[in-house]
Amino acid sequence: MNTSRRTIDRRQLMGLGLGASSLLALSACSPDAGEADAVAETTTPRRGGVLIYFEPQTFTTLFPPQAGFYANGGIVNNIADRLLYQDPETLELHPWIASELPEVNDDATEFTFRLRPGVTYSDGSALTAANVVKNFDLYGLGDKSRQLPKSEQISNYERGEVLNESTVRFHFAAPSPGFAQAVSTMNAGLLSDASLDFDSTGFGPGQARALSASGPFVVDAEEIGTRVALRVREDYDWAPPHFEHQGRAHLDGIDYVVNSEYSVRIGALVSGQADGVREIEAPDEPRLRERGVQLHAAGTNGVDNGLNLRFRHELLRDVRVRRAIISAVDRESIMRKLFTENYPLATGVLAETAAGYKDYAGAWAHDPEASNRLLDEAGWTREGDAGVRSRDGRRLSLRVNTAIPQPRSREVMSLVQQDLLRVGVDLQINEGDYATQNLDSADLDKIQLYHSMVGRADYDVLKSQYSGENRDTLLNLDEESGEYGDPELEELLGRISSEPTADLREAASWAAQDHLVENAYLLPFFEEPQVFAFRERVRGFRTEAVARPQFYDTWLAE
Amino acid sequence: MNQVRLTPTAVLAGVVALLAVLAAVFPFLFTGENPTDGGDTAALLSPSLQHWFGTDQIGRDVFARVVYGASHSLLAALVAVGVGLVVGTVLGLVAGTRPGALDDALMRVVDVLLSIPALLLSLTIVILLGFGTINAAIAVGVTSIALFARLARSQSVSIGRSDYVAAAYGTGGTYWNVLRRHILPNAVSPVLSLAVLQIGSAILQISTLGFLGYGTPPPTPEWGLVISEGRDYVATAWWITVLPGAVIMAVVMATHKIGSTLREATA
Amino acid sequence: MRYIALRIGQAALVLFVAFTIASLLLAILPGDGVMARYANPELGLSTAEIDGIREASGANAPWYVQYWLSLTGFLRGDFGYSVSSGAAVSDLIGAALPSTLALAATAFVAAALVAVVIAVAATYGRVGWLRRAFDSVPSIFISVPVFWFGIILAQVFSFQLGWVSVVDPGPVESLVLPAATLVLPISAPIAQVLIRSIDEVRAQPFVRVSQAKGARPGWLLTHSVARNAALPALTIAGLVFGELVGGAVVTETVFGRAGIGQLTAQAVSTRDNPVLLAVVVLATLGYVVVNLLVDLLYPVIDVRLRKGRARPIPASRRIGDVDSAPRHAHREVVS
Repeated sequence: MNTSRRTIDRRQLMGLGLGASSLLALSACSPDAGEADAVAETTTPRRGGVLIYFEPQTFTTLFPPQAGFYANGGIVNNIADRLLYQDPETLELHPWIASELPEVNDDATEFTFRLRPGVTYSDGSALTAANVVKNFDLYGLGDKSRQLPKSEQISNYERGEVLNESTVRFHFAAPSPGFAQAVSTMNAGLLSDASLDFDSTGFGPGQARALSASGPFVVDAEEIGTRVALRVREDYDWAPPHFEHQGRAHLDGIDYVVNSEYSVRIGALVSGQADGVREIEAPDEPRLRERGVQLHAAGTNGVDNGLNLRFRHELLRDVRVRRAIISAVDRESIMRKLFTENYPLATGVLAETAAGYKDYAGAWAHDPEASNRLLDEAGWTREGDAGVRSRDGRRLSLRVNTAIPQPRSREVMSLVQQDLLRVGVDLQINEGDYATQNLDSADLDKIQLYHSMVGRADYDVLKSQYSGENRDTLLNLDEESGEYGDPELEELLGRISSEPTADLREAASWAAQDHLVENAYLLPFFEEPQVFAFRERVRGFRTEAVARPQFYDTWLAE
Repeated sequence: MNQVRLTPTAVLAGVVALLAVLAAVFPFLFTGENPTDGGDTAALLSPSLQHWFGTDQIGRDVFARVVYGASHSLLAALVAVGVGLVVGTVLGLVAGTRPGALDDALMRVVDVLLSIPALLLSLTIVILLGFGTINAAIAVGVTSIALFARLARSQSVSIGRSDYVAAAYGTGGTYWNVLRRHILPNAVSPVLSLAVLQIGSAILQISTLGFLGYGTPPPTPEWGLVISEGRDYVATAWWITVLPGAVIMAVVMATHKIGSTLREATA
Repeated sequence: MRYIALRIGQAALVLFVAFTIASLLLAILPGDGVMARYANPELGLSTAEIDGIREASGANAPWYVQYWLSLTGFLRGDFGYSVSSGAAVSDLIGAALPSTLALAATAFVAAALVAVVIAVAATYGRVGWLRRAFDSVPSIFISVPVFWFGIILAQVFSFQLGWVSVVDPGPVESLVLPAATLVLPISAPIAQVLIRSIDEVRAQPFVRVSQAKGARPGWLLTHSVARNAALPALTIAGLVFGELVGGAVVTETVFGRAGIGQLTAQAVSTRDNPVLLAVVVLATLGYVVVNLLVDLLYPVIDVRLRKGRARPIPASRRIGDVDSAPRHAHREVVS
């Protein structure tokens, strides 16, 4: 084993976590974000006031590794600090609770962090080296007995080690180059010892006030299912050192109000009853601008919102059928009808601003003629030009899930349904609530086309989405036999998280993307943003690297 | 039996109901637009001569969706009422003609059915049966079983006390014979007028399931689904919600009027 | 006294059967709370791992074991724990109940007042067209989809006119729109019954006699008519009150109010059976108790009943027998 260890400078660490392509894409932040920032620069922040912020969904858990769900992350991101801070625009890593960037050994199996002194949790306990190790032992390994899953972002974790009172080292069984970035995400939010002893219930709704972290806000009150109130921590004094703003947050607090009726949320914002709303539907954007509402679109920097073709299913085994489905869909028309310029048409598997982006523009062109030809060749026929195709008495009928958290999933799928029917493919849209969608999505017999996306500003995001060990969006792994339908894909994905250097990881990511595109496994629609809207008086709103709100800098003008 | 009183409102109700039935059977008479494929039409166009009810969130003609939706919504309402009518009437007739333990047991079951909130019951049944128009209709139908059972029971009790039923038993009629020949025909007309009254509420209940996300899968233009999918845009495109809502109201009111007119006539 | 004991016994039986039916229904639903919570692809748990969680949490036990456990638990007053959040069900219900009760009570009182106004205007209105117009109001009210009405009320009165806030309203303000939404479906059946009763009572000889003796319409209304019409109206009121839980699901969803309805909607979508079971028992209990009270109040209000019959027929049964319209109307509260 290579024991020579060196301190890496920021550029090298950037390289570890991220590729050159992401550096080239620095300017890709939205114009609206710019507008809001400009306002913030010109005046001195005012202290005080509680911001009323509308969420469409209630949080399901505050256990950090499960903070990926928008409603969970929106809260966790504001109550928990991390070892490192990732700049949402440059995707660079900066010190935060770690007083400097970590030392990493050559094959990326050991990461050493030095901790900032004087940090305390909201329950009064101190943030110590032993506590940080306890955090990552739980996040890296999970605890089945307490029904707490491990973080999908941490690969190959072995153990943590306290070197001295302010230094910790993490050991990995195999290279884990994504770890430095992983400690910067809200999924690695640091919690006090007492909170780390909770079981899955302790992180759930109704228990939020008991949670103790070190962030600028603390959960102060909770009405299950409808409201969570965060209040400022007066003694907060450990913002990332490169921030201009230090000390307590400007706001006195944030009230997260949950209402599942979109028309009520947006109406409340326009009429001035609420300060901010997450998830603005595209048709409302012009009307909101007219009324002086600020829009803030933030990219989620991960796998694009798109359709995954589950190739292990009988009807999708033939690559011609998959190609036919892809070329039948008119992505540009869908985007024009349903979305605005805040939702950029996907040009690759990943968002342009994501780590490992590769351009595949032209790979998903609309060509219904080609679809018809391919389906004819594959033996799927129909009488005349209408109706659903069949072969040997079997109809070409597929089912897609409704991705409830994704913007306008039902409408997108309704248009895909129209497009597919024109070439003789029947698409059923799966109706049902969260439980039904989750349950059905894991079943190849129920869902053959899977609509989803995932955000994470690291190469590993591709593995998170497609590996049999993680979300297994394509259901590549046959749970019964334990075999992969496409073992090559799994192998390519595994390499992304185990190659020790940035260049090799980027190459691995590109190879996996090539494989996904060539085999017609997916049809990306757009780079999913989170679009927020805020009243004119709200200043300094920011998001973290995957578009979860960060209210530390936010303030309310008179 | 009294004469049906043809007031102007009753006539108007008849016309509305007739139009709804025509739309259900011959939707193409009312519109040339495609209800499930809007082609290249822009989304959220306001009402115009071309699109009477405007277009919806993905560019489909809302009027065409309402017209073609009539068959789905009315069929669903009929199925719902059918379930309640058949099951409820059988339960009620048996209970009403077999006094004692059986009657008591059946009526306790009916009490229980009434006491469980209807919405909760129908949600559970939808999840059990799977999502779809007919399943939603069955779920709604189950909640009306108790209602029909009570009415049928009270009818059969009062008929059972009458002299001619006693006479029928006296001349050697078997239980089933008497039930079929004498009790059922006399109980049927109040039960049927209740059924007509129930059509309207079935339409509303099915659309409520759609609102809560337990209704018909897209692109079926079922009325509840049309409103429920368009309600996000009520501030930007009121026509998707308000106009189909008005149509539902008109049809429900018409069935109520017809139902109560029939009931007065049979009372 | 024996009658009262009998009625209470019947009520307990209904409660028990409702509990059993609900347990069975929930037990055969596809998926359960554990699946709903942990089968999320985001968590990346394998089928075997989820199975382990189900085993540990008792979700894999046969239905009769689960049924017995929950039944004995309920009898001890222990409602168990929510599968989706782990919170004690009694805490969840306790937190949600006051706001729903406030909504139900407000909506009910407002609906009763509206119903009286409609009924009086429809029967004592000065001109024919006014009477006819008010006579048709109940059937209009009952034809409105409640969720649709709620959304439109919020748009117009909160967001356009700005009269009431839906985001951070005071305790009274927060009731205005949700209660107004519920007034429609609840007042309609009450008004219908009132109109019919008033008509019937007015046609009776003793009213005509009083009229001939020179009694003023106002006096007649308050003394004879109101007291007689109150009986059927009270019955329908009892039935409607039980259904308010269902109505709360829709209004609380639209207005984002914390309450039993909101809790129910979430529990359904997460297959949170312990919560659903508790809600069913609670709703059934409410229904049974209200109807029991109505039955027991009957003889107190109507002296003639006490004189005429040995014991009253249970109101809940009588209404279905006497007249189907109000029953049908009450089912629509949730639409």
